[in-house]
Amino acid sequence: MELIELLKKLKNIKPDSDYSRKSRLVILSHRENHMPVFSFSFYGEQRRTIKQVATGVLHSGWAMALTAIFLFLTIGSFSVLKILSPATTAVVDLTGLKAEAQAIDAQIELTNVVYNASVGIENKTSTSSIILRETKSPKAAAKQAEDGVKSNVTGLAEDASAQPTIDSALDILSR
Amino acid sequence: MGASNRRPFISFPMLDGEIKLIENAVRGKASAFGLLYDHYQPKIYRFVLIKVGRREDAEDLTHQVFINAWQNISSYKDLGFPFSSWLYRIARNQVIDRYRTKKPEISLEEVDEENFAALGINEKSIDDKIQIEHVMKALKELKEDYRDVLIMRFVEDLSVRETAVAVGKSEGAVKLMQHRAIKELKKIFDA
Repeated sequence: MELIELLKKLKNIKPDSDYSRKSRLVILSHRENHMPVFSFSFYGEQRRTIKQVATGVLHSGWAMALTAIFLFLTIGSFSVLKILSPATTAVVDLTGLKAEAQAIDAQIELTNVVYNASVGIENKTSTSSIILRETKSPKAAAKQAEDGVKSNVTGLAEDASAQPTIDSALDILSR
Repeated sequence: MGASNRRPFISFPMLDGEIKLIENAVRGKASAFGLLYDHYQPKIYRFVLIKVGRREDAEDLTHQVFINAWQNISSYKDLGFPFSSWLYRIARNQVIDRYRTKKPEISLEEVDEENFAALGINEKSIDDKIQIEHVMKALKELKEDYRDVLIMRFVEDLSVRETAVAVGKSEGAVKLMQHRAIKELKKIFDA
């Protein structure tokens, strides 16, 4: 095709040899002298280096800001503690605290005693009921269990009247 | 970069040991890039000159194309198409960037015998010179994509796939564009 033949004639276009030589030298020396962040040149490369500089500045800026905030919070929290600590100690009433602590201890002991006593009764009742269930009819077993509970309660009451202190009651229960 | 893992298909004679040269250039060897420059610079210059029509602009743009290529060669990845497609792509973008606001003007009215020599067109016969002038004028009338496809396919002898990579279109689209471009160029030429 004639048209394509004509297009192929454009292959004869050649650059000036002097320009090519100079351009080659400039390009090849360009990268060696090129500093990736702080050097500038024209066109696309300029955009790239500016972007790199901006990114670098942002990164270091963020790092510095975060470090400053961290230091401020650390030092600040120590100072606040130092300022507040005498005030907190002045508010505390030591004798009042001691009395309160003693009262709490006593309450705990009493609740323990009540809990342990009830546990003992439950245990006794349950074991006796198991034995009865194996040997007797349900009605008879129920009667037997009732009797057992009654005897346990009276036994405890007798024990309580005989030794009225909590310590002795605890002692018995633990045995 | 793995340039040696994939063998680029060849549509025109490649430089001897081009893959090795590309690998060395990617590693920053200036001498390797220098050889690639020697081989591809006339092609890129021609491509740019036909597009912009002014020798000074073509020289400036070609220089920028190779500066960009050298600066960004570490990001070059061999994806199965030759190095030339990558360069043509840079050249296309460079021309688009330069003339984003201002349309290139091919002042072929000024292309007399002297200017023809200045462009680097060294045709002996006057008939040939006139014909080349007509072709360049006709190319100027074409759409940018059509012009690029015709230059790559018939002046630079790139394959359809290489052209497709360089212009960022599918192979089918390039074939269609080529067909339409020839038709349109013929119409302009005959008129």
